[in-house]
Amino acid sequence: MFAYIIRRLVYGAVTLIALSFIVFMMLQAAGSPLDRLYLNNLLEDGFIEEVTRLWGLDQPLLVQYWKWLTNYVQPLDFSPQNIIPWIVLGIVAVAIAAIWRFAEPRFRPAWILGVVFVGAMVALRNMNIEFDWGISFNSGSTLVWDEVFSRAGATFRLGFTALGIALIVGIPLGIYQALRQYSFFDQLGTFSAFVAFSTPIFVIGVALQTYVAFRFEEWTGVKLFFVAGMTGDNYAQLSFIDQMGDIFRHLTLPAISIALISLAGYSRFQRASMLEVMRSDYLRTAKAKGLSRRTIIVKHALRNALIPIVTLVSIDIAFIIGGAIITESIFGWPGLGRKYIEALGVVDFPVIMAIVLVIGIGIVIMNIVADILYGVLDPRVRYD
Amino acid sequence: MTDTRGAGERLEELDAVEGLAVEPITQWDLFWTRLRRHRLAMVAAGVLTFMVLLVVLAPLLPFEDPTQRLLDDTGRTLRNIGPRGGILFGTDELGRDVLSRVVYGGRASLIVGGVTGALVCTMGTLVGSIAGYYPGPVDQSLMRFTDLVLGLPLLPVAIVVGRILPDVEWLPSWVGDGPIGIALLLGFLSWGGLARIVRAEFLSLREKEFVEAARAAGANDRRIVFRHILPNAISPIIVQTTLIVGIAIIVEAALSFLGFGIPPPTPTWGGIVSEGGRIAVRGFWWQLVFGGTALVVTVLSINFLGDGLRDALDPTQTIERK
Amino acid sequence: MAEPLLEVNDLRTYFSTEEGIVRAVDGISFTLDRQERLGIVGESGSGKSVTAMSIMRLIEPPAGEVVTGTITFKGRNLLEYDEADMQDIRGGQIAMIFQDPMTALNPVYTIGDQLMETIMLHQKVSRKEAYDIALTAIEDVQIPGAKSRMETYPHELSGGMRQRIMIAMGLSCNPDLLIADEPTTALDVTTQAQIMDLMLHLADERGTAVMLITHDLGVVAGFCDNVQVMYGGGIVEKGTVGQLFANPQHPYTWGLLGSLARMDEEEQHRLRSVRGAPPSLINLPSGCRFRPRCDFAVDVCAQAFPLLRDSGEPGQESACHRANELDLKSIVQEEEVTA
Ligand SMILES: Nc1ncnc2c1ncn2[C@@H]1O[C@H](COP(=O)(O)OP(=O)(O)O)[C@@H](O)[C@H]1O
Ligand SMILES: [Mg+2]
Repeated sequence: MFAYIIRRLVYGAVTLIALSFIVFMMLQAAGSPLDRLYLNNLLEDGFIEEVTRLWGLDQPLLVQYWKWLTNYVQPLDFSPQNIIPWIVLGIVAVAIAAIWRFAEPRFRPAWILGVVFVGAMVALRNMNIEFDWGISFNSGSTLVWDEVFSRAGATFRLGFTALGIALIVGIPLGIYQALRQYSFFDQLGTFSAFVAFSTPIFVIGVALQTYVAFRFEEWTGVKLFFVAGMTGDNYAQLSFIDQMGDIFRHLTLPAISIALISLAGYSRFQRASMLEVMRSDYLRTAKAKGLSRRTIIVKHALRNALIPIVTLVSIDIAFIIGGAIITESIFGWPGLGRKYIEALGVVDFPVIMAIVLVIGIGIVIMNIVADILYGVLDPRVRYD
Repeated sequence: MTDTRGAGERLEELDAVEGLAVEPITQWDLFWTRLRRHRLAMVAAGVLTFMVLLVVLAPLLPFEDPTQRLLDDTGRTLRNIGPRGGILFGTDELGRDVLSRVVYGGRASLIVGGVTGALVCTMGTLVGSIAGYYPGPVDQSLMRFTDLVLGLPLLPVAIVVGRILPDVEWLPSWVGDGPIGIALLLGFLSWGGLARIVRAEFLSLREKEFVEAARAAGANDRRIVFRHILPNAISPIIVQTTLIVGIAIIVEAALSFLGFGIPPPTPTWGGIVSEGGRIAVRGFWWQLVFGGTALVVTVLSINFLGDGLRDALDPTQTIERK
Repeated sequence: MAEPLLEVNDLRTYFSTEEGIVRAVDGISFTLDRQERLGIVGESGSGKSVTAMSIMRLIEPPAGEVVTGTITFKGRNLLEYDEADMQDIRGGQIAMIFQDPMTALNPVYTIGDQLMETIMLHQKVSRKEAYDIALTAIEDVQIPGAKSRMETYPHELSGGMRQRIMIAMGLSCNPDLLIADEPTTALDVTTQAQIMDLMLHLADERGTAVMLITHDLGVVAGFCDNVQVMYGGGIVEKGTVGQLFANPQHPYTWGLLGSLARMDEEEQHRLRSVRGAPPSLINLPSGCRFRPRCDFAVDVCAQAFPLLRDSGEPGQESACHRANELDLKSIVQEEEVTA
């Protein structure tokens, strides 16, 4: 199993390197960053010479890439503010040893992942972290780390809400359709799923923004949703309840825009997977045992039918992130995606590279999580 | 579509025609019968045919120039005019005819869809077949490469390339600025899924008796692949390709929407929706609605057609009745 | 004579498919006594499984439907039961074992879970008691290490082991009838006999009647009292095992017997097989369904559908127009002489 984890991490690293390399070379194909820097008159004197030296901008492409790559994984600051991170480290080590000793093999990866995740969350809160991702070529002064890292949370919130909506609505919908196969509801559901699946995120986003948020308020005078942003201006002054309401009114429309396509996909997939399980031999056995329809469906069918959706979700993560890039631009959501589009507009080299890799890391991690979850759900999975 | 009558009732009907000679049904007949029964797929095929004809024949039809503003009698530009006789879809902010922009915008979308589809179909089938037919190092290295391509997040990478393409000096402008460049890009990013499917199909088929038999009868590799294996893998190839065509059209539109696709003033559906969204808040809805509808209807038709093809090609469908 | 355990009368089960109506079971009648071992034989597609599924009421509309007939089990027609009563019958009084043990168990639950589920469903016992019963059931089917087996998942067991588990599950509630649908077809030859022995031995211990479905006459010869042969959705011949083997009355049975390689015979006789392919159950031939493949067909066979009637020895029945005039037994002997 160790071999499995290591292999997954190596694959992940190779993917990330390939991703960053391709994007790096693409950006270079449109001209050296130096050419663009000379055009930027916002930069202070000496900045260009400084970054040229630091990033090797006058050297061959491969050297430039190598410098960028090694800088990217180099911490500028990685210091514990107090003793808590060390304690957490100790607890995590003990916990992993205990898991190794006592947990059933197939649950080990999940336990370890959980412990590491919680530990990392607690430890990072008590640490200064900062990586050397360079200085924005556009502004000439802000740290890329600050510009990018602070925005990851916003994208995280949007992406996970969308994923949540898609799962919570899509899966039950698919199951219900499978149980009522060929009913009117099933056919309606299938048709709607096709329509949703064929509607680009930006069309949904623009339509929701224009009509549900903007024109609706003009017509009725009632402000249901906000047109843009993540929180209101007066967010800090609101009570907790009002803060939740504020978040809801900002988050709903962009999240729905992203969720709809995924939702349609999940419901189709879940329907098919449920139908397949309903036809399976072991369900026939369950019926022949004399179980009630309810038990057959809830205990025997669902448990099996939910397993394959994990794979679909792990594939879908990349699409959700892609969707976030589009919706963030539409709804002025201060996340990575919008920053990405802004940075691309001015070809801000280090910012683009930083975000590409953050997105890549997010996808790789989510895929590993999905794989481990699959192992927990399906006893047939072996890690080797 | 659904026959909910009991078996007994249907039997009476059957008894009435008993004694009639039944022609043997070939695979091909079965395919056509099933496809024709999928009403949505047939409608979709009709819609797509219409779209393609419209887009191809557009220069011959009496459409306005999609890049020129319309003027009224006094020589003023007709900006943001709502739909009316003569200007069926209205005009945009610059006074251009929206109908003609939607029609010409379809060119970009359909070219991207078609070229990407062709590219994915060829590359995916080729890589998948080679990997599936030559196990060992060839298979291993091809599949590693496929994994790598599949690992690239489509949209973030596509956006970078879309942004960069027009700036790349050594590229001819028909690649850099046109739909072909986008199609090449999307094609190269999306063949991985099909390659995997085709490989899996090969792996399972190459052990099958009929392939063994052909091999024993002295058929050479090429004959085995083209006559015996590929025809059996045709169903997943077609289904996956239609899926990719739909996705390619959506991604191209998304790129144009974000401003990183085909540069203006060439009309694109993504661009039309983007501009339309900006002016729809002022009540000028037509650009958003017509542009968006054209896009959705096209992709929907492709997906319905794909669904119909899948049903018609699915061999297990003989038992399950819809 | 006591009332039979199961009496099936003119059962017809049809499926509607896109090619047309499939008459999978088309008017079969038979009885099964308590503790009887009845073999049902026929090539694949002859409607054996559908018969079993119909008795269990596991045919699900709208795909398929029991169109007519009665299935009287302990004096009551199962077709008139409501779903809740039927659930008590299934697994409790009639248990079923399926052909493919590899896929018949739910992959995500342990063997113990699945056994105890049945036990607790049909017997008023606590979890603890159910555990003990399950443990005994596993021991009964001669799987070593019963305790640890309770915790294993189906995929960790071989096909033979899984079929033993299915038998344990089927018999754990002491049913009156066990329907075994080709229980050993998917297993390799060496385990087949073990499993059959085990299953029938356990059934005898419990006084459970067995309806053994198979396409292998050899299995029937070794394990059954009575046998009936199915062809194209109908029963073409029935009788005791001895009668059928010694004196087949239907050309199809005769053909099946000819294809059976017999170990116990000194002289090797030429193997015969039934020529042609099974009939399409959608467009059935007129008259006798076996006619297109029959070596002895005459005009009447194309005109009238042969009904099952007495022929051969007492208690033996066959659905062949020419049963009485043909002397299939002696043809067998002649062949053996000329061979
Ligand atoms: N769900 C179904 N839908 C349509 N046809 C079916 C279905 N189940 C069985 N059949 C048909 O019924 C016939 C008898 O099948 P079965 O009883 O399984 O044969 P066997 O004797 O091999 O067990 C076959 O021709 C099969 O195609
Ligand atoms: Mg069967």
